[in-house]
Amino acid sequence: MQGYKWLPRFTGVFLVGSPLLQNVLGTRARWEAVFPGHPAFLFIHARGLRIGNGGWEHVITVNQVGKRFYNESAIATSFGNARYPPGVDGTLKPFTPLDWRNSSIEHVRATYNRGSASDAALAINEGSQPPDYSSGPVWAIFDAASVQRGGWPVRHPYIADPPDGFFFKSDTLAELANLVMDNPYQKMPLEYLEETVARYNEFADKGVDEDFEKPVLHRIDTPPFYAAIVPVALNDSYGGLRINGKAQVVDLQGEVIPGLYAGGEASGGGRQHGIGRATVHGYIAGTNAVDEPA
Amino acid sequence: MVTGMAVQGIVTHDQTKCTVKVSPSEVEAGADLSLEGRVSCPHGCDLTGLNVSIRSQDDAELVMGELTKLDGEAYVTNELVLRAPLTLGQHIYRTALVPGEKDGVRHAGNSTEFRFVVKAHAAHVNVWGLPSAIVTGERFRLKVGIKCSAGCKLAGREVSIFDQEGGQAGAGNLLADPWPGTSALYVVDLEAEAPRVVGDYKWKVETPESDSGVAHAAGSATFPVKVVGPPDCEVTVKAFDSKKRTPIRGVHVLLHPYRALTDDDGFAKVKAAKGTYKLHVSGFKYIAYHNTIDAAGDVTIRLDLTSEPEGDDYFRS
Repeated sequence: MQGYKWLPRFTGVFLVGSPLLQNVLGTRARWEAVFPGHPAFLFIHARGLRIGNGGWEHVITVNQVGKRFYNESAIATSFGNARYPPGVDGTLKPFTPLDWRNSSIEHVRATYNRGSASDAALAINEGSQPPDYSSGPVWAIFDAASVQRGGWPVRHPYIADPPDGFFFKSDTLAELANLVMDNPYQKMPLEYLEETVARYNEFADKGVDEDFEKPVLHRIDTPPFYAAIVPVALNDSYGGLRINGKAQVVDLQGEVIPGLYAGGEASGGGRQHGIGRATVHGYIAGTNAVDEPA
Repeated sequence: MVTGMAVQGIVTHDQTKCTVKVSPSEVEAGADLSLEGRVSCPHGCDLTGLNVSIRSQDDAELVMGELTKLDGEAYVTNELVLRAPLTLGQHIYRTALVPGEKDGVRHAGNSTEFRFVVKAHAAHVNVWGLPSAIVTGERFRLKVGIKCSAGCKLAGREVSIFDQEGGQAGAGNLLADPWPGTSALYVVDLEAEAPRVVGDYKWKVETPESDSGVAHAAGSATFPVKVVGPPDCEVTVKAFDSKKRTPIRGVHVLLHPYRALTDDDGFAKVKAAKGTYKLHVSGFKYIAYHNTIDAAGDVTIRLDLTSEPEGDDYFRS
């Protein structure tokens, strides 16, 4: 905690992540489950729909082009190894500028495990091109029948009013695919959404998810249709900011960015997470920051 | 070669170039077109304050906009909004600089044609609400909803169902009010008779094109009809909360292709053909139950479902 004492002298920026994952949709904040009146609500605008583990059965999740990428029912129950590249190979490999994967195809093949979510990690950049990869939000797509089955309170304060771009409702899927462009982080329409839902409905009719082996599927066909953001919390990251031994952030050419430090899950690589990692990085960063010219 | 004429102390530049950016190039009847007038003078004159006129095929002025800023080599207007005509097909309009004088220079220029295509409003068709399994020859109901791409009121529009062989299996007209929760999705409840042979069929709903005031394109959608044999057993699932010992309403019971929800007493009855099924029972905020059951006759299964951990704030790491 010495780092905090030194902070007034320090003019740089600390970025420290925090791990958390809940079953919540349609809000920008994953951990502040607050109602109006709480100071944080002014920034969050919505408490979010708490759908529980079982709720994932009734939605599909799509990437920024509108494609599914995972067994939704496993989102809440599949523990561990949800990282790309699977294994530790990526941690110690030399960093290749502008190559966001930074792992060998051989290594991915050798360690491939469907449950590891490496497919999901690869899918998240779909639709964007180097060097300007964008990940876009993950959207939960569902229909009026899901809302009815779950008794989800699709109203303020569970969703934002006025709308804040993190929850959408529309008469048709085609409209929904374009509406999400009102979200500040969505760079493209959900081009494949109608196709994705049609395929999912076929699987529901067959009783078999041929793409991701989701055990129970419900047709998504009853209007109105909804898109709710799935706020993704960063736990460990191989894709976080690259830091050196002084917790200084380095750029794509490996050069130190003066005055910028990162730690915890905001930094890439490493296997430890949580408060221990954050405090160690904070101590290292703070110790070095005091020696920097103000 | 650029020319300039001096008349009574005023110079005239008559070779200004006037164009327009149109978006989109294909627009639905009656929808808004976005235009940006662009004018440049070969002498590099400042044209701000002069006006651009957008004119129809019969030379009527539709909208006029002032040149406000320089964009590259051309002076441009702010966005001009023009309502597209209702007549389908290609339209040829013109844009022209309104002759005007500024700083002792009078600017005039030739008008330039621009084109755009007007198309009919699209119909988005959606089908829902039919049973997941229908017994051979039984009548079943389904809902058809249609949304006009421009949000037009579609009450009364015809809708027909066609079976796998193209034969008409049902018809109706869209109701007067939009489906609850939607802004302009008009619906109709339809009824049809299932085929008399077990199988998976693909049927179609169609709505024809119409031209009552505004042109609307035809629309269609396919939907699955799963036809099964008559049931000869009944599977009853009784769902209870394992701690409270109270029945749970709304639990979903799936024995593919049969589905049911539990009632207020926690009961769901599924009439099915005898056989072996994977039983999935899932309720919101309860841990799901999966098992394989042999339904050789009537079966009753009591399930004590366990709640997911209490509160919103549990998480994994």
